[in-house]
Amino acid sequence: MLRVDLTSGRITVDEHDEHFYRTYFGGRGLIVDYLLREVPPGCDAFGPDNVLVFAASVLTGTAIPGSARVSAGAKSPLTGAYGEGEAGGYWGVKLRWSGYDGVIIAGRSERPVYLWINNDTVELRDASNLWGKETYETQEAIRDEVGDRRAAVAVIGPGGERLIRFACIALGPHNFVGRTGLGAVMGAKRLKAIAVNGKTRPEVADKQGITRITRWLRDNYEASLGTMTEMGTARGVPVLNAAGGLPTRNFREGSFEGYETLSGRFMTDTILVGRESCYACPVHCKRVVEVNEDGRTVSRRYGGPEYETISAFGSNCGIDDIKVVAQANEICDRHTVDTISTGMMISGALECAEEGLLPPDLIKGLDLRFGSAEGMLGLLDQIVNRKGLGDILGEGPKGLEGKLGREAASRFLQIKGQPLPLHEPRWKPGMGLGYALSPTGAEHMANIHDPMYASKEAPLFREAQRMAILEPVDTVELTPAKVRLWVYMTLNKSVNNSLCICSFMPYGLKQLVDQVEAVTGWNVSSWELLKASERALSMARAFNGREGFTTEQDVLPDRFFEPLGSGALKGQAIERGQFYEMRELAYDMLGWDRQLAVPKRWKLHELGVGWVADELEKSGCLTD
Amino acid sequence: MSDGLSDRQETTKERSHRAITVTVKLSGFLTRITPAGPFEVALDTGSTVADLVGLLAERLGDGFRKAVIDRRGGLHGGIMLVLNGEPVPPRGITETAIDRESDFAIIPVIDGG
Repeated sequence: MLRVDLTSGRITVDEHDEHFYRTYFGGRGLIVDYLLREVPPGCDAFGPDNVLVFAASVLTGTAIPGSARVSAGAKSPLTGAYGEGEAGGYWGVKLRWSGYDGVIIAGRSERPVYLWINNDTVELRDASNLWGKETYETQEAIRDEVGDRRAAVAVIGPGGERLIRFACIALGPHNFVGRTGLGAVMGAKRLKAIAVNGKTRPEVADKQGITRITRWLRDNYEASLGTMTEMGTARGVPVLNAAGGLPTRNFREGSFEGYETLSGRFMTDTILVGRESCYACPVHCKRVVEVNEDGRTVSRRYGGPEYETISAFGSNCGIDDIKVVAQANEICDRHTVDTISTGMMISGALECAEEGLLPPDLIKGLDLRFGSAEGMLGLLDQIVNRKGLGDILGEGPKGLEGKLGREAASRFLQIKGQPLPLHEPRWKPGMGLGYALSPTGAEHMANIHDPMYASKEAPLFREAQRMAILEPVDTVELTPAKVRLWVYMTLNKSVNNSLCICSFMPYGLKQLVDQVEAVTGWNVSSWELLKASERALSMARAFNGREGFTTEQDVLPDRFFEPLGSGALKGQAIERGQFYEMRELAYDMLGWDRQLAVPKRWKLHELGVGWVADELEKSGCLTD
Repeated sequence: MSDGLSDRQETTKERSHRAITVTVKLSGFLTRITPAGPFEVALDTGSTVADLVGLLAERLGDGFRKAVIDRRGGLHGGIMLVLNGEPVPPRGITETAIDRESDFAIIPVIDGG
């Protein structure tokens, strides 16, 4: 693990033994180990004591399709809790080819700098001339400066520099570590970019095994992912709409009249000009779009919008024009702000404006109505430039109560300070439970999509069976059976996080075990991988406990206890008492304390990380 | 229909040999707009998966059609078809023949990204 202290400029390497890597495998586990050991409880997320960790996995950089992802984590400036995001592309691959499994960024530089990792040579370089530049031009300028057009460059744009609390990190022009505001952590550290290239591919124990895995994927992906290639992640928009679960007008409704022109099919037929992939992936789910009409210009440089972005700026803002959504996507990418959080902050403001909850002088000149493209884009411009109302919203949902009042603040749907992803909990209550319990705040990746387990033919039910879930669980039910499903399958999906494997790949635990064995030669089992994922989740919860988080932050916004306003699920609501009863059951199943919401001492010992219990005890947040 | 669903009747007649029974199961929200529980459909042998979906669209009405078939006449991207326990690749629905008594499921795939 490469370690860079920006305060002193010192660059060193942390060597770890096999035991360390076999404890975590990569991703969240590596990150949270460092954060628990090095980030002082209560520290300022923007201060020099915060530590930003990029972590690959034992699989990253191999030829295994879907293994190109990398995780990043730090104390989040958006939530004050454990912060983490992941992205694919080529950056993580090049990092491992340079011989490193991760990068630890500590301290704070006095002037803007960037890090250049060129195989064994690592140096900090002045970035004063790059400060203020947008994503693409920064990446291009750095490639020119280091004289390597094949370097992968992780950067922040002006959004990160301006400390927008939901700023993200661009690992390439099309790949973003989107969530929890890690781009703002880079900005606070005055680290503009990390450029990397390497030529040494990781050694693998069983090359034929890797070939078998690659062939298996090539033979099997099309049946489940074929439409992903053709239409991208927005393939499901019409189905979501028909089901009544398409977030619409700030989650007040579940069906949007303009859904068809937001669909993956429509995007394919109109503005799509290409498809791209991460390293070694045949799926090509990444969209490349171009717009040059109606006075709108969207460059193909930044790829195109994914489902979350389409719902955030489309249906949830009442907008049915895919070109407008693509434009919003590009603005976010140029400035490196998370499209989910930004879209949700805007839809919250639109609802506030509709209900007269915002001071008139603050919204002067803005057409803040659902469906107004210019109003949405105008507020987006204010956010990325930190002007007017946008400056307030750039601080994220936490603290809005003091600035806009309690009633207005409640319209910004968030958990632990992180705005919701675009999945409707009244339709997917398991997902809602996961929103409440995720250590990063509302999060959809290491979580379940309830319909995927609702019948014996459902796509993920076979994998659930291998996890001892022998009967399907109905989509909208919230029962002990659903809690069990959520616990088991969240741990199952979190294995992807530990291995930095793309969640879209149709791998089950069986394939993941084969992959780890083929790469490392270790004789691993599903049990071992599941325990690594549970270890990482438990440690992230422990980090939050140390920061003062309790059950009080494991909540759903009131909106989801109210009836849905339209669509096939009109009238559907989560019963509040039932939700919190099931949350208690989830704590029990995971070995977490019902008041403090952290893993109990016995659980941490069971996971082999008793030292974390000692850390919690020092902070006074361990009861037994 | 561009993906071959509209050509179902003619194709079925051409390939007609004898009737087979396909047990159809719909999942998720589709069960709210169609008959509850599995039901049987008689189909000529040699019919394809596209033929079967077209037949279901005729029988089950507009709610089903809108939920499953897109504006170009193909399947919505979020619809997955499973024949005898195995997913049917989207590009294979016009070629995949149903030549024996079969179980067929239509499943909304609801993920994200």
